Amino acid sequence: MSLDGALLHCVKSELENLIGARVDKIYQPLRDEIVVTLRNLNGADKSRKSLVFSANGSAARVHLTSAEFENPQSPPMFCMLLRKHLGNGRLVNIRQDDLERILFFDFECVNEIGDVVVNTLTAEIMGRSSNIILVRDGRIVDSVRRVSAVDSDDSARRVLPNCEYEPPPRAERLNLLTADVSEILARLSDSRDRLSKAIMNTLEGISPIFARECAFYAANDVDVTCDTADKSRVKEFLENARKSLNSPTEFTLLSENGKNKDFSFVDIQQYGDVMNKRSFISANALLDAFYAESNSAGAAKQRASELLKTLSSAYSRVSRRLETRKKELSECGEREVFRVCGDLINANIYRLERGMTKCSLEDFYSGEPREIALDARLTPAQNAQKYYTEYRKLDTAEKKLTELIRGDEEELAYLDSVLDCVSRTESDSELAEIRRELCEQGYIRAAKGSERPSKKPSEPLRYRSSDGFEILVGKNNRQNDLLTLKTAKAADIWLHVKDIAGSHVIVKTDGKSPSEQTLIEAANLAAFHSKAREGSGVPVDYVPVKFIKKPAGAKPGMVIFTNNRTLYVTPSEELAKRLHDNL
Amino acid sequence: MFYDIPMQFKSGEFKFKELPRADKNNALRLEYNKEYEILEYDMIKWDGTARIYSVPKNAVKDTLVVAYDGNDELERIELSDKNKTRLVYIRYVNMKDSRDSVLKFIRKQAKRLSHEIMKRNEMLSRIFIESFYDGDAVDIAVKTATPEEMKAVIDENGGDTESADYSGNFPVESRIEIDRETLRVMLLCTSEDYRDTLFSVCAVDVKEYIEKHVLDNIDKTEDFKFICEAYD
Repeated sequence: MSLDGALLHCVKSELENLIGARVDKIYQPLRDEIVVTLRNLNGADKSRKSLVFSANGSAARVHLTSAEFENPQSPPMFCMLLRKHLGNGRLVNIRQDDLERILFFDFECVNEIGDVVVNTLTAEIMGRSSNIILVRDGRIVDSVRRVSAVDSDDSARRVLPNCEYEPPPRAERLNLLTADVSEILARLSDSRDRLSKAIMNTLEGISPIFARECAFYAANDVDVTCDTADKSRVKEFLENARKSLNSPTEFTLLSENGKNKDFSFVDIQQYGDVMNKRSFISANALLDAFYAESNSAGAAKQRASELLKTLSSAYSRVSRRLETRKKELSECGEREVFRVCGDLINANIYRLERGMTKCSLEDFYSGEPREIALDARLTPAQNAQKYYTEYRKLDTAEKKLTELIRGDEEELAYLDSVLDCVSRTESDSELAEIRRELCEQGYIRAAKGSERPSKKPSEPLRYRSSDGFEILVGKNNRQNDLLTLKTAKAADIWLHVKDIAGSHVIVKTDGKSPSEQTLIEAANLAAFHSKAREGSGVPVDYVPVKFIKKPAGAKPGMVIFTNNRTLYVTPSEELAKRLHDNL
Repeated sequence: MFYDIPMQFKSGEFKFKELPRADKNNALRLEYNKEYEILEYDMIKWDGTARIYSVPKNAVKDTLVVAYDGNDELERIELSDKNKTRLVYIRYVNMKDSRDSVLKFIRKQAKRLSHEIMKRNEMLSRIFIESFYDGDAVDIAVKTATPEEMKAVIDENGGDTESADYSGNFPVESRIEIDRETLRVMLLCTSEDYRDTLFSVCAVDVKEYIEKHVLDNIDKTEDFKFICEAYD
C-alpha cells in the first residue's frame, strides 16, 4: 500500500476548494506528523478543516481529516517554527509537478517587518524518505526530518536549514494524464518484463496495485508479461484510468478480516472475493478512513518509543550486571578449595618453610595429593592465613552476591512489566503515568516544570463477564497496585499470568462466588493484557485478594501470594471486545 | 482580601495607596489568597483567571505600582521593590500590540541568553534550547555542554552516544533561563486563542537569535550540535 502521485493529484484537486483559507492552528501530534487547521471565511463552507501531513515511512500522506489527535503538552520545535512562519497565513496555491509524489502548499504570510512573503509547506510523500519541509524563497527553513550528507540516499541532496530546496531526483517516466496512450503502449511493447513491472517503470506516480490491476484487466493474470498481454485491453484500462483521474467518481478501499489493506483511484478486481471493497466519493475521505485505524496504534507506539528506548537500555544494563554477578557467584563456589589449602598448610606446617613457592600435600579430605601455591615472602602460617582470608572474602561475597542477584532479577521482572505496559499503552495520559512511575523509581529524570498540574489519571480498563461480574484490568504498575491493594475487596478474585509480565486483573465479586465461566473470561483478559497475548495455553494464577501481599519496598506492581490456583487459556481479542461491549 | 484597581485614573505611575477608591464595576479586582500566597484576577477581555504565585503578605499594599497611559487608561500593574519587579497585569490593545510587546521582551531575553553563553568562554559540544508551555507554565532556557560534560553523560549512560543529544541528561546547574514569570504574565494577558502561537514565536525567536549571534562566535568541537527541543 502506498499513496501514489495519481491519488495525490485527486487529493490536491479536492483541496483546491480551500484556497483562500487562513491557518488557524498548527499542531504536531507526532514527531513526523503535522496537523494544520484552516478556516475558510470566504468560501461557502466556513467550517474549520484539518489537514494532516505525515512523513511517517509506513503512513506518509497528506489529506483532510476528521480524526482527533492527541497533542503533546508542549509543542515540538518544528511545530513552533511552523506556527511562527505560517501562523495566520493564507493558503494561496497548491502545486504538484506532473504526478510526482510531492505537494507544495503556498501560504501568503506577513513577516516580522510587515512584508508579505510566501512560505511553502512541502509534503514529500515518498515512503521512508518522506518529509515535511518549510521553504521560503527557495531555501529550507526547517523540516520534520533533517537529511545530511551521511543520511541521504542521493548524496547530492541535503535537507537542512538554510540549504537551497531541491526536489528529489525524478526518473524519466510518462505522465498518465498528459502522455499519448500510444506512446505508453509503445514503451510497454519494448519491455520483456511482467506487464505490471513495465507499467511501474513507464508511468510516473503509479502504485503497484494500479499496475497489477492493469495486468489483471488485460489478461486476468497479474503476472502476465508485456508480450502476451492484450494491448487493446491495456489501452482501454489506461484510458479509463485517465478519465478517473481527470474527473474521479469513486475510490476503492480494500480490507481483509476487518483490517485495511490497500486503496486505489480505480476499481480493483484482482483480489476477487478475498478482500472486501468499500467505495468513497472523495480521495480525502478514503485516506482518512484508511489511516484512521492504523494511525492510532502507530501513534501510541511512536510516542512510547523514547520511553521504550530508555527501558530497553536499562533492561540490558541490568541484564549485563546480572550476568557478571552470576559469573562472580559461580567463582565463589571455588572458595572451599581455599579453605582446604589453609587446612592442609596448617596440618603440615612443620614440613614447610618461608621461601617455598609451592608444595605437594596429601589432601586428607579426598585422599589425593594436592599442589598448593605458596607466597615465598610469607611464613607457612601467613600463607595459611592468606588462604583463609580469601575463603572468607568469597564466603561473604557469595552472601552479598546472592542478595544482589535477587535484587537484579526483581528489577528485570519489574522492567519487563513496565516494557509490557508501555507496549500496550494507548494514550498520552497512560504514558505520562508510566513516566511518573519511572521518575519515582529513578530510571528517568523529572522534567523541569513537572510540578505543573498533571492530567487526569487514566482509569483501569473495565469489562463485564457473561455472568455480569465486573472485571477491572490495570494498565500500568501504579494502576495495578491501586487496583489490587486499594480498590479490590478481600473477597474479590485477583488474576495474573504465571511468571510473565502482565496486568493485574480483578473480578469484583460483591461477596458472590464467581462462576467458572467468569474466571475463564477473566483469565483470558489477564493473558490478553500480558506479554503472552499471542500465546496459547497460557497459565494464569488466580487467588482471592486476601492472599495477596506487597512486601515492604517492593517495586510498583510486584506482589506475592499464596493459595493460588492456575487456569490455562488462549487469549482472544474477540472475547476481550465482547466482554468490553457487555458493559 | 481584595484590591480594586481603577480602570481609569490620571496618566502616570502610582502606588496602591495613592489610588482613589475604585467603583468595583469599573475596576480590576485583585484578590489575595493569604493561605496560598496567590494574587489573582479575572481577565478583562476574555474568560479566565490569571494567577500570580508566591506573593508575600503585604506585598500588594507595599509594592504595588499601577501605571496609566496618556489616555488615563490602566496600562500595567507591577509588584516592585528595591530588589525585583514582577509583572502582574499588562493591557494589550489588540493582537498585534500583544505580539509586538511580547516579541520586544523576548528579543531582549534572547540577547541576554546569548551574552551569558558567550561569557562562559568555553569550548562547547552542545547547546540546547529547551522550551515548554502548557497554557500556564512557561519555560525557555539554554543549556550548554562542554566535551567533558558530554563524555560524563555518555559514560553515565553506558556508552550510549545518543544520550548526549538529550538535554535532560545534563545537569540543571548550567541552565540559563529567560524571565519566565514575566513571559507567563504577558502571555496570560493575551487572547487565549493566540497564546500557543505567540509562545511558539517566542521559542523560535530565541532559537534563531542564538543561531545567528552565538554559533559563529564560540569555540565548538567538531561534533558540536545545536539542539532545540520542547520537553513534556
